[in-house]
Amino acid sequence: METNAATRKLQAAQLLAELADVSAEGVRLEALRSEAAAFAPLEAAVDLALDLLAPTTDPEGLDDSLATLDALSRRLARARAVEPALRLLEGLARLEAAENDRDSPRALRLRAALADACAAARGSVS
Amino acid sequence: MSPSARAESVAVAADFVRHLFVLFKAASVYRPDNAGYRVHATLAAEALAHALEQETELRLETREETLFLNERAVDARAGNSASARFLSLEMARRGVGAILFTRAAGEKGLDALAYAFAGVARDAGFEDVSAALARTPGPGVVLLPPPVLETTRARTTTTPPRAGAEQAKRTFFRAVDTVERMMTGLREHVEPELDEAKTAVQDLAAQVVADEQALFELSLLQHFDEYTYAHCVNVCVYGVAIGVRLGLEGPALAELGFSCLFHDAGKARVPLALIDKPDAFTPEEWAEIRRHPALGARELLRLERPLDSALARAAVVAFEHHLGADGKGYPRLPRARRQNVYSRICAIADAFDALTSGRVYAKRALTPHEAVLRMAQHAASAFDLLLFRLFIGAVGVYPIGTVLRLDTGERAVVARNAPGTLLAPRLVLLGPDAAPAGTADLGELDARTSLPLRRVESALDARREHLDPAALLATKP
Repeated sequence: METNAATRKLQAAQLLAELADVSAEGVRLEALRSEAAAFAPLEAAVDLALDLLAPTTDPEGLDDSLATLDALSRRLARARAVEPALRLLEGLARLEAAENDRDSPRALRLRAALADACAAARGSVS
Repeated sequence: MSPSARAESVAVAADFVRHLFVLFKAASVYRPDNAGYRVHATLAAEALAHALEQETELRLETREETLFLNERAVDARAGNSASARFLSLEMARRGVGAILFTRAAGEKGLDALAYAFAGVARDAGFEDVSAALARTPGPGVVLLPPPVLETTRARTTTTPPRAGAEQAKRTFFRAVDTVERMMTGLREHVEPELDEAKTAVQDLAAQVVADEQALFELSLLQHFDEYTYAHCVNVCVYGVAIGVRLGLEGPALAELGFSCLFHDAGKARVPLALIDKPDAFTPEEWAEIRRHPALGARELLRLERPLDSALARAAVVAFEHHLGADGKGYPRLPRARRQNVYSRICAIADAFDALTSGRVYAKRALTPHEAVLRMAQHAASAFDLLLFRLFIGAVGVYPIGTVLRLDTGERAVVARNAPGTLLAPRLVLLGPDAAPAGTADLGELDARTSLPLRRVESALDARREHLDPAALLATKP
């Protein structure tokens, strides 16, 4: 039994050594490099802020996420980053609309955040 | 001196070193008039006065990698490893051979000393720190340069391979200290000096490119009291090694390293008692731990500095590193979110270090070889398979420190892997007394038969074999 296990492990080691050879994977490696290079910081930050505000992500940290959103809105306004600001507004509007109970404290706070973000975005759009 | 008096004397010295360490740390975060800092300054001055009761002066210096206060070794044996290591490294980094404390030294002198070290530029040397100390009148504390004889000896006895290992060690420990400062800053709501972290990452990346195996040896075999900080550096080392194989370089590689270094930034917001808890987590504690990706992302996004590419990537990686390649990890998101390529790299590095350290996600530390096999079993769903293949190419099938049973009946420790020869690592052979008896390449062939001289029979668990791979590799012939 033990010998079988040892043999299986040696075979696995052999297989892993073969797997480590990526010389035939040039195209896929290039795709990964392109993916890494295509990173846009402000757009990524906007997506992140919206996911932080999603109801299941970190319910206990809603206030902190709203504070982060507020800081990000001002940052976008200062940078006059129109596209990310619009993306943020659309995302927030979707989140707010998806709230089942429109009068819940969470929905009210999201609505207020959306209004604040709109005000901040005006600075970036005008 | 009686044994009990000797033990008491070492304890007094260790107490002062510990307080001095805390004071240096506090000086890097607080102003001298901060109430918290003043408490530490008073305690350090009291500990110094106590240590000076039997002496006219105290000389703090490192000899043969051990920190001494006069003739008292203040190292791991005194339960003081983190403090002693920090002070040793700080002195070495600044080219300070010794610090002399006379009976005139008090809170003022200690303030001047702590801020002389904390206030100078990162690459400042002996002259700069001495000048800073002289600017603030701090009676009773004198800095001494390293003795000329010792410097010469160190220069003539250092062989190139050890020099590489020493360089790796310095880079590694400096990075651990940097992470500790950053995390302490985040915990205390102090805006961290991210430029220092970027420099630490650049040094680590350069070291990975020059000799990644020396860093893997440290990541896999060093044991730290403060695991959280070393874990961040380990993840950075493995992550950058994958990045190098992917073909990333320059700023892209540095941003990957930076993201990996801060992947656990959210743990600065989780109670320390919970992070350091030695027992299994309750469901409530698990829920708290699982908040750290969201906490970290928020923390990084809210820093009062330009949201550059490095910071945005770090926030994304902090958020996504437990999400899983299939999106079934945590945090739970209502919409599909694909892990960024840097997060996928970080997830592999993070899992490997967690498995080999036996913290949080595994009941016991797996051997490096077991960890690679375990990860391979789940690679298709948990990781990006191509990136995982690059990872194997970096750490090897039998990573450094793996203990092997050979078909010759010998036992051996893997000392080095080389690209392209993952099944034929360099070995330190062990004699019947379990001491290093020689070195060999596993791929070496018999000149007559052209068959391998040695083959792997099985990988062993070093603990069950009562072997310490770190010590064996340090004393290899």
